[in-house]
Amino acid sequence: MSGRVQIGISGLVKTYGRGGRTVRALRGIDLEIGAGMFGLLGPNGAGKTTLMRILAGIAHPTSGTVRIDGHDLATEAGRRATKSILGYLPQELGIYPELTAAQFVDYMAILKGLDDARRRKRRVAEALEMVALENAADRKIKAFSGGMKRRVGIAQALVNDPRLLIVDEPTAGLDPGERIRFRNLLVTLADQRTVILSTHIVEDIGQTCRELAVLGRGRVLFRGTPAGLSRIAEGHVWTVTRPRLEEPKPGTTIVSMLHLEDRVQYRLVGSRVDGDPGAEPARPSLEDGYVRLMQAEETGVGG
Amino acid sequence: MSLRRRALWIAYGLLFGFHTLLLFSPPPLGEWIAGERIASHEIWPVAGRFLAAVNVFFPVVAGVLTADRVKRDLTLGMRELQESTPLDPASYVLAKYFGALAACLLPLLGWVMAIAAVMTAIGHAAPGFLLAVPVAFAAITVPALAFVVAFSIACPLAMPLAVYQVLFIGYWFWANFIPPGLFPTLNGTLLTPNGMFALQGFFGGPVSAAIAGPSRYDARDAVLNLAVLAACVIAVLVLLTGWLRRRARLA
Amino acid sequence: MSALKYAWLTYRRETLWFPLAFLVFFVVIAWMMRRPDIRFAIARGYLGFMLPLIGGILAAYAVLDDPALELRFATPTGAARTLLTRLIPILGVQAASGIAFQLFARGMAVDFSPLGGQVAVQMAWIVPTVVLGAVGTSGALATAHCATGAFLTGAVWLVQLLMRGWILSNCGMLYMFMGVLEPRHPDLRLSQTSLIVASAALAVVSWRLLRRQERYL
Repeated sequence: MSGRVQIGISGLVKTYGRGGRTVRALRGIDLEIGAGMFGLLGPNGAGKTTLMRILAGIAHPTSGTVRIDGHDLATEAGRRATKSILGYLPQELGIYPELTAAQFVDYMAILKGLDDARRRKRRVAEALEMVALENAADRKIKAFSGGMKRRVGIAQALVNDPRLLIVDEPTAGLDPGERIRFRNLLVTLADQRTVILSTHIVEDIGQTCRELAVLGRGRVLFRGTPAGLSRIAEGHVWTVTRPRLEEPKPGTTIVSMLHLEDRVQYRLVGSRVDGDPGAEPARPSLEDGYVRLMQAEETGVGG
Repeated sequence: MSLRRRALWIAYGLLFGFHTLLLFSPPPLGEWIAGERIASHEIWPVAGRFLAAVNVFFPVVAGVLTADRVKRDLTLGMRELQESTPLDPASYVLAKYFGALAACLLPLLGWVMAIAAVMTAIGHAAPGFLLAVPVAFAAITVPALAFVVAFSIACPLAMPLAVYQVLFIGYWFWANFIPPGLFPTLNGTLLTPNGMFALQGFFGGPVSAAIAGPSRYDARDAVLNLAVLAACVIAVLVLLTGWLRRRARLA
Repeated sequence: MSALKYAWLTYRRETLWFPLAFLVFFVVIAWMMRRPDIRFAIARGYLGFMLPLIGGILAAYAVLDDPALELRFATPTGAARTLLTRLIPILGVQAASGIAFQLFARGMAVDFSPLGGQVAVQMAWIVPTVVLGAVGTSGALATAHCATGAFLTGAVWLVQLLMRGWILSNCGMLYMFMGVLEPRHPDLRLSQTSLIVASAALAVVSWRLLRRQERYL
């Protein structure tokens, strides 16, 4: 069943009521997502999870169109068709602690329509092997570490050999070794399917995604490659050395700070650092590009 | 925070509508709204009966919806955060208890006063009714809800939530509405929280306008009943505080 | 069958032990009472009142009290199948409890004939159980809150017990305890049929509500 999908999003708007107010979570998203690994970045409240849930067929668009391989997600039939090719790992992974890893993945396989018991058993074993949990298959999930629980989450997402894999903050709370393992696994999986990775961790996107989009306040602020996002910050990244801690100037953001013996070294992203003898231009990273994009967004809103 | 819970307002809204319909329905369903003006000497008994009728269902809302207030903090890991603050278990328990109780009492007080105001405005009751109702609220409804909320925040820590809710609803019926002669019950004892003691002892009202005859309980019985209920509330809160302290020590 | 097996395994444990505990409790109470009329009253109380209340409140938690709800929603499993697989085990436990209790009761020579024939006896507890199950489920889904569904179940149960006279006089078709409290009522069959139809309507409402998955996340 493997094979990538084409996702077309046009004018997507999502609003919902909350405590008497109307919240516009998505304000007209236009996006085309094709093969391989696609990254979704953005601050909290940008609309990433809302977009993930719409693509997973759980939430309904308020207006606009979303098509996955031609299936319209505004219809029940379209959502059901999408779910049959979908593997989904939500941000808040809920599991049944009393089940073993194998039982949990088996149950999810049943819910995904794998009715043939022999095929399902084989798929469960393969999915657990992919996430290196084959030796823990018969242990109850409540005894698992956080990283192992996340791997169970990935296994259930893969058990039906999905063509579309949506993972929302998959590396949250994982130690560096687990994060690297996860990233490598996702890249391997993206070879034969479309993978959408939504995360706060810029480095994960930079290490794995050919293309990405940055959401902010329900809109697409950037669509392109990681290199393209980095280039946004070109000419706006500086390394500054000071004798002591200082407040950043207006229009600049301290991206990192290093306390040396008798001085402090900053990495700044901002519009101007004129006349500062200690300032040296630096080569922008992906994180710098993200910060610069957010600065421009805030300035644009305020101005 | 509990006051903002949608579940509370939905449940209360349904009951407000239900009770308002009952109040403005003719007998035997409605008590006294349709038809005659409440005589001046009847104001206090009628106020008492009004709040005693409120005690049939509103404590069920309070009992069911407050059952997760403390349990939720333990389940979500909030208790661990709270234990790292200067907040001691006694203060925590009191804050939880009075917060949940206030969330249950305030909307109810608003509604009963609105009913009293309407009754007075349309001339069915003298202005004295506006004093009688809050007094009856304090003597009849507050003790009932105070009793129920105390047990409801504590007991679910010893059992699953749904189990407690079934037991509580069964208890409420068994301990308040089964006639003592029919079946062994707490109804009619000093442990009865439904407000009958206060209704008859303080407000001189029979259980219903349809029931004639002298009251079974006097003011002394009513005071004893309130004292026993208060003692139960204090005992439960003390036990709950002790349990939380022990739990923190053993963690 | 595997789906039902896992539906059972993923329930909280009290879904089984709580109805069993109540069953044992009432069996012991009935056994302790020597008088046949009191044994009958206890049997009627358990079957006609407690079993439906327990079933209704457990049903209120059956669908939404699911830690993997979002994962479930992301599968092609439809709302109807979700409702069936989550509710059948609960109603199944209630049915098994009802049947087991009757076997014990008949062993203690409890005479159920005041409730009518075999079918009438079974309908006397099945109808309120189905009704309260439907109220609990639909109430929880309508308000997206299990405890509100539980409250609505309890409120309906209490209202029907306490306002029996008024309900029988004004809307007897909706009196779910007619089979246990008024078994000779001429409108019993009609009432039970109306209640089953009403429960089916609530089931349809529940299905429509559950299709709007994002309400529950």
